[in-house]
Amino acid sequence: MLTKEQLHEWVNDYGDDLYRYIISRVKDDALAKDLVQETFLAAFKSRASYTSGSKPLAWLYTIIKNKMIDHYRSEQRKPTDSLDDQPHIDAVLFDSKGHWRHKPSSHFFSSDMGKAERDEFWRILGECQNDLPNKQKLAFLFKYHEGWESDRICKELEISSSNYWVLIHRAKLKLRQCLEMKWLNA
Amino acid sequence: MMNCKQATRAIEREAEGKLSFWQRIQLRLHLFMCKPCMQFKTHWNTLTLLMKNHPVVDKLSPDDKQQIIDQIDKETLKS
Repeated sequence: MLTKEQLHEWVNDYGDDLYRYIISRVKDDALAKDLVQETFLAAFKSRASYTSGSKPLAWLYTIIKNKMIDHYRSEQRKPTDSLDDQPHIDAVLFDSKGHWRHKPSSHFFSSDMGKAERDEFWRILGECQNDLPNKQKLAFLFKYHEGWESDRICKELEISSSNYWVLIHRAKLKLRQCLEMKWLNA
Repeated sequence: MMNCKQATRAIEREAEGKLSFWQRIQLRLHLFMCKPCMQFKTHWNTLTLLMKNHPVVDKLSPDDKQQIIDQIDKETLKS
C-alpha cells in the first residue's frame, strides 16, 4: 500500500508532469494547481487500490483526467451554460444566404513564430478557449487534446451525434474568430 | 451548390471521414472557387498542428509542492 512518504516523493517526482498535462488542457493556472492537489489527495484516499509496481504516473493521469471531467461537468449543470450561445455564432459570421459576413483574414499566424510571439499566441489561445461555453469546451478538449473518437465524446457528454457536430462546429468557428480578433489586433 | 456556412461544416466532417463521395466533390468544388473558405481551412489546419505540438514547459513552484504535501499530511491526520 502507498505510504504518506511515498506520496510526498510522488509530489516532487510527478507533480510537474501532472501540472503540465492539465495546464495544457484547462489553460487556467489556479484551476490547474487545484486539480493537481485534488489528484494527490484522491490518490491518498484510494491508496489501498494502488498496487505497488504499477506505473504511478499512469495511475495519476487517470485520476486527474477524471477530475477535469468532473470539474467541467459540475460547471455544465449551472444554468448559465447551455448548448446555445447568444448571439448565435452562425448568424454572426454568415449572412442569410450562408456567405461570410467578414471573410477570414489572409494574414493570420504562421507556424514559424519567435519565442515571445509564440508565448503571446498561447496566452491568447488559452483565453479564447476558456471563453467557450463548457459543453463546447469539453467537446473541443476531448477531440483536440485527448484525440478521442466522436462516439466516445458523445457518450462522455451524453449528447447525440448531431449535437456533437453542432458543438464542435461552433467551438471551431468561435475559437478561430476570437483568435483572429485578439491576435491580429494585438 | 454548397454555401460557405455549409462548407465550413463539411470541412469538419471530411476531417473525420464522415462525408459521402458526392458531398466531398461538392466541398472540393466550393473550396476551389472560394478563397475565404480555403483560408478558413488553412487556418484551422495550422491551428490543429500547433495545438498538437504545443510544448508546455511550466512547472510547479517549490511552494506549490510544499502546499500539496502539507495538504496530504493534514489528510493523514484526519484518517
